[in-house]
Amino acid sequence: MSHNDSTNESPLLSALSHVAHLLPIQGPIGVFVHHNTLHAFEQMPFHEALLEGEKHFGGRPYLTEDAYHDHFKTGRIQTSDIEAAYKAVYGVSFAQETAKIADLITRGALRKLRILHTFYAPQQGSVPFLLHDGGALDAFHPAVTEAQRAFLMRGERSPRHVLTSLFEVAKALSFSIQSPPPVEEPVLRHQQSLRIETGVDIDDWTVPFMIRWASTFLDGGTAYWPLPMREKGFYAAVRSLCSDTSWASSSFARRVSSLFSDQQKNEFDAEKTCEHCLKELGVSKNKTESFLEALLAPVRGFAGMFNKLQHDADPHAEALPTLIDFVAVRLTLELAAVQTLATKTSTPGWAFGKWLEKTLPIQTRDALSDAFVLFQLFQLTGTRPARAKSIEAAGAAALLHELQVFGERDVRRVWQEAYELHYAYEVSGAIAAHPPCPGFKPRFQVITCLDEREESFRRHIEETDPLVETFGGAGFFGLPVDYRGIDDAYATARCPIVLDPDREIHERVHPDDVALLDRRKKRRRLLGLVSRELGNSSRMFMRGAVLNAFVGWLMAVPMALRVLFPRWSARVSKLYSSLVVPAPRTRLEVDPTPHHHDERMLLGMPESERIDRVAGFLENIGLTHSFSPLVVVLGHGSNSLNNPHESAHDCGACGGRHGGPNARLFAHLANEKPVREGLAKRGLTIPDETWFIGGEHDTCTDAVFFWDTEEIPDSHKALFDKAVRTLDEARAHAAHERCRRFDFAPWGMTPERALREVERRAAAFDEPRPEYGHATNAYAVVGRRSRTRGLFLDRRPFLISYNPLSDPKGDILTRTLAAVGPVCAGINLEYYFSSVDNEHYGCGTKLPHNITAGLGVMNGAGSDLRTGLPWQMVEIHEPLRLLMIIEQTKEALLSVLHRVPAVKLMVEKQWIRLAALEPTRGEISLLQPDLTFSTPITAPAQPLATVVRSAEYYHGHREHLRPAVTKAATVRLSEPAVEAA
Amino acid sequence: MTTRDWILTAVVFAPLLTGLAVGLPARFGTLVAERYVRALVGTALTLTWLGSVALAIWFWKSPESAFELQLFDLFRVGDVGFSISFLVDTAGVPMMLLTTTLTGIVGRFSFRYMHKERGFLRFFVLLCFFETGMLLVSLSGGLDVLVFGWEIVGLSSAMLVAFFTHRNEPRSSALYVFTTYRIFDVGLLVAGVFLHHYAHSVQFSKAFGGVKWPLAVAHLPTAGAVAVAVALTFAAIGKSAQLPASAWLPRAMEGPTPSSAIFYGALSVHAGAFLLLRAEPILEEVPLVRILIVVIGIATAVHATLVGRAQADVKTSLAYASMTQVGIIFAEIGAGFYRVALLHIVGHAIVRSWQLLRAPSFLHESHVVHDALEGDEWVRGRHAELIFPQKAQHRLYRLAVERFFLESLVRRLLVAPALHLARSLDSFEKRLALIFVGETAPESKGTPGETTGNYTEPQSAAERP
Repeated sequence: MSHNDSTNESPLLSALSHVAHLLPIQGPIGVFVHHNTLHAFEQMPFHEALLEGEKHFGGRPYLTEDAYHDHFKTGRIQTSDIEAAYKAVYGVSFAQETAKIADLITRGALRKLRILHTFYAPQQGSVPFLLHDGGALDAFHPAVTEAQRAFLMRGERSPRHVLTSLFEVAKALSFSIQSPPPVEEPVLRHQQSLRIETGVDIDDWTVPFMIRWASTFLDGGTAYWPLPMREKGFYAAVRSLCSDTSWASSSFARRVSSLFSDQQKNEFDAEKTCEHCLKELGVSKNKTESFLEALLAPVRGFAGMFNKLQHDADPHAEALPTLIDFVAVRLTLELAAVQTLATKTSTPGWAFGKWLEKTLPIQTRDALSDAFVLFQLFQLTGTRPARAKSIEAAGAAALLHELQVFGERDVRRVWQEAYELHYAYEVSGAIAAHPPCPGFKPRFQVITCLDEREESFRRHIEETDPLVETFGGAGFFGLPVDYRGIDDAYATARCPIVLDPDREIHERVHPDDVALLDRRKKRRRLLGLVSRELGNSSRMFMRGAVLNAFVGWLMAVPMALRVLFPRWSARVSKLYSSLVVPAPRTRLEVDPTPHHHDERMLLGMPESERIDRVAGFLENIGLTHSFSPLVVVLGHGSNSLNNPHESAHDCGACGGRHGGPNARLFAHLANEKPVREGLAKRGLTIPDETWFIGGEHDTCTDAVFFWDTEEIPDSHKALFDKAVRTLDEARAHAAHERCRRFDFAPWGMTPERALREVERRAAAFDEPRPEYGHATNAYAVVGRRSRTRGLFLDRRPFLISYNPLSDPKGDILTRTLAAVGPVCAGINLEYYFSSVDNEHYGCGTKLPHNITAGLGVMNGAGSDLRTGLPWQMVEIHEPLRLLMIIEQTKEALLSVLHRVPAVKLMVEKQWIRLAALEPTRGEISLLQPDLTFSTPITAPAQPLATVVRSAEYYHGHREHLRPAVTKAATVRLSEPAVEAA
Repeated sequence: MTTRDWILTAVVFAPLLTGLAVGLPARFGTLVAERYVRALVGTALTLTWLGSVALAIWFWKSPESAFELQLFDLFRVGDVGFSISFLVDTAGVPMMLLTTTLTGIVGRFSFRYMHKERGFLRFFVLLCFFETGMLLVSLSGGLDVLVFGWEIVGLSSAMLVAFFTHRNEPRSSALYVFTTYRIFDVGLLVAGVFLHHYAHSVQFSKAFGGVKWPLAVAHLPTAGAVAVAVALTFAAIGKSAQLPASAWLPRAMEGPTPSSAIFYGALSVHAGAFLLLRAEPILEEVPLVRILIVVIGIATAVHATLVGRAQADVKTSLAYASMTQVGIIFAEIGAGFYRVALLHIVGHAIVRSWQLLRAPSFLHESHVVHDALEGDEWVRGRHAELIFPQKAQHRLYRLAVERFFLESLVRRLLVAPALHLARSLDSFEKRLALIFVGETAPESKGTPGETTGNYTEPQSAAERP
């Protein structure tokens, strides 16, 4: 198979590569990497891509109209936002659209009416129900105003009388309009025509087959009995296992077997099989692509996984999946099914190609439904029956046409823009008007990931001790390495997936503890073996019978304890394993004279590279002077149980893994004498009394732990203890703030009690929401922390530290934007799509999820692989496109943007929005898609609330909150007494 | 009634009443809020558990004290009557304790797990009904009360499979489960009729010759014993997913995780086995039926273990592991190891429901083990699979992945002929009617979808000759 040659690809392969582009690119769920769900259309403008997505995947492009109406009622979207959004989309305001339609209403007014009120266009056949049982003839449309009502009712006794005559007029008008011929669409697959003719859906035969065999093939250790011959590839293995007709019980299964055995006799490879089946099915060349796309649609998840694994092969996997293999099996089944079913149709002798020449009606005008629309329009415009009667058929047609041109998707587009604009103005105003926090001499400094979940943690650190300075940067700390801890089976990459590390770092045991490590390994191995054998045995025949019958009831004890007392029992079991399994001291081995581990990997890191990497990261975040004696570097990760999507909560900048090892490595490198000397030569002087310490923040339990604490110099021990105390207090407050979102956390709990609640969430099997992950992310601020310090930002912005003053040429910004722009946008867009249509773009509710092949989840026992995020992760998310507020002058920002084409494209195509925060002034200008700036925003529309600490502000609120000013982080700075405390 | 009797009655009916209390307001348009559901159901589950523990302690203190509680007679004509009665004995008490313990734990688990889900209320109403159903099965004093519990269990199970009503698979799977249940439930009704006929009572104390489980011996005429035993075995096969009815079990995994855990991993899948344990005095009389049960049990266990070994998703693999053990339990019952079988039911129910509750943690746990073993290959397929020569292995593997084509075999051999018969009868009846009405018969054009519902539509149409 030479399917990688793009130069002289066969038509089949080129069609397949187009189809492959539309498949989901989510990899194995164990390392979840966020990406734009509509990556296939990212070259298109955002709103067009949404429509393409709807066409290809059936996903809703925006929230429902009802959802926007709810936001309108709460004031989250306001009339002024709608007007601004309409103007932004159409270039004119409602008032400027003065053309009168049917002499009844101006286009602008009609559109505004349409946006603010759903004109319910009922489904075919439901109008009589609405009229007679739904009360549509008894009460006016709920949005009819009092004045309109009085006008309509003038001289009439009951609403029913007016409404009945109005509907009669509307009906007469609608039926007087000539209906266009129904729009038809060619069928894409035989399955559609055959289903109409025979009532049988061949997917019911073929899809379960595909799902069973594909998951067995991909399986990395669930099934006790692996697929024989899987190393030969999916097609070859399935073909030789299924080519025996004697066992197949249904006529379809017999057909499948005989096709496979013919293919085996003819020694077809996968590509040849595909071509052969397509020919047999009568799929012409020009229809191949659409046919294949429709063919793969019911098994998109698995097809995508084959495609993904073909390109990003897991080096430890036994089998190499390829998309062409998958398609070959799928096509063979399709052919077998069509052959089986075609004999049962009225035209059994037809060539199969004829089934593809049929069309399906997709759109037929329903005059009664149109009548209902006119009926509602008359009410909302206060049109009395007499007046309505004077409208001619052409006028009514024009009204209906206008409502079709400015259709439901256009309405929701305006709503979406209004929804986003409102928020953009709100946060921009808050940040622009916020006075920068004055400089001070920090007691210690904390560097965390730019993750929006660290916003609250950083804010609470600053509120707890206003003499702490915090920074945010990409959580791999500029160190793209493969890492292997003492407990890991093999090394894994800890960096954004776009980077391909060629450095490997190992954690090594302290020389004194070698014996301890040995014992640790042995004990862990023993425990692992026991747990594996017990788990397997309980499912087996004889072993299972003995185990279940005689010791099974013992399991009631752990079951009851883990369910009833999750936090307590998790602690006991942790304590137990820490007693049994010793923890040796370790250190990172960073060989200064690296050697090749294998042909690609370099174990260790050469000195010049260390200096470059450390300097690069510190320059990026603007920490090049005013070092405090202690710098705490914190990566992050998340641990939770019973959560197949656990890894989606880990650090995105570390490729969906924990970022702690990177933090530890960074601290290790930054403490090295030679590195410091090298840095000093480059003009970056870190004082001798500055010590770096690495650690990790668990975003689920809000625990913080440190590495290499024994290496801290005595002089710094007191300060480190102080820092630990501060962080402990801050993480309790951060947990408390997170708890405001959880219904099970009561109001009025202490921060310590909040910590227990989040620890329970991580340890409990019954918790489908251990944390909310990136949900609620909405914008990013690239700039100095002083511009946002003292603002309550509700865990919504990615905070990237960047000092515009030390970057006159924009080189740092270019680097930062290129690195973090796509990462943040990927997270943001995945959340956007999973929340606007959780069934199509997300993976639905978690409750029936079933891990299959160790790679993904399906619903129940036999669905396709579900990609995207589960409902429990996105239920509180507001789907807003990312707004990146960058602290830089407008001119500098534009010139940088031209140097980062990927981000520039995203801005022009409206996948993200950029804004410039003037470094020296309090104003923010939004960058429009045509790369011009809006009028500067200098203040929020409504003044912000001011509180001392965040808790006062969020108390009692489970919903999203506007920004607010928190004094604790800034106000005490001027008080000299703080220093003594 | 003594205190003990009151406790017994309360234990059985408290869950049902709680279910009605939280569920009925929905009938009038008020959905009871989550926190009240939690409070009410939580209290009911806890009290039921405490009550059952009290009963169990009391029972085990004096094992000779197995007793029957006649609650009241629904009606009585001379010798024949329909009475509501409970039997507390060595078979019933462990089942009762198992039911209240597992329902209590899974109920508590679901308070958080089901939080904010549409259908939160529905889930707990069904869980409460289910608990009463299971307790009726465990503690019933006669076959009539048992049937009542049996049907509640079946209905609530099917409705939980269909929990996610917005998707197609759960609906069609639920219909599949429900149909299977209904067909095999006929066995129970037939057994009731035979018992009435031969023993003049369906009370276990009378018909089965006393309450000294498992030592009681029924004294039925041979024909009667055979008829009752066969009918009960038929009923047990359906409920416990034995061959040839086993295809419903993996399909039942469409519901939320806790319902899979308690229903199909633990309780309802064992109800059939328990029925056979209950019928032990009759089985003792008919060795042939016992041999049949052993054969069915072994065949199911072998089938299920082979299929289960090749399943790559956690829940299906656990479903087949369950089926394997239930098959072995059947064999134990057939062979006369009643106490072992009872112990096996209890142990297996606990292990399996705990594994199913933890199924979403599978990745987490396997990563931990994988790292602990430093990436050692999974030791797989060492035993049964390697006995066979390679060619047979490959054939067997295909059969395992395709689940021995069981669904399509059942459709072709059982469903299709039944439908054919039904259609012939239907058209015969129509013709007959038309003779009297005096019109000519229209062409009969039965589409499969009309008569068979969703699930048989695709295959049966293909299988039509």
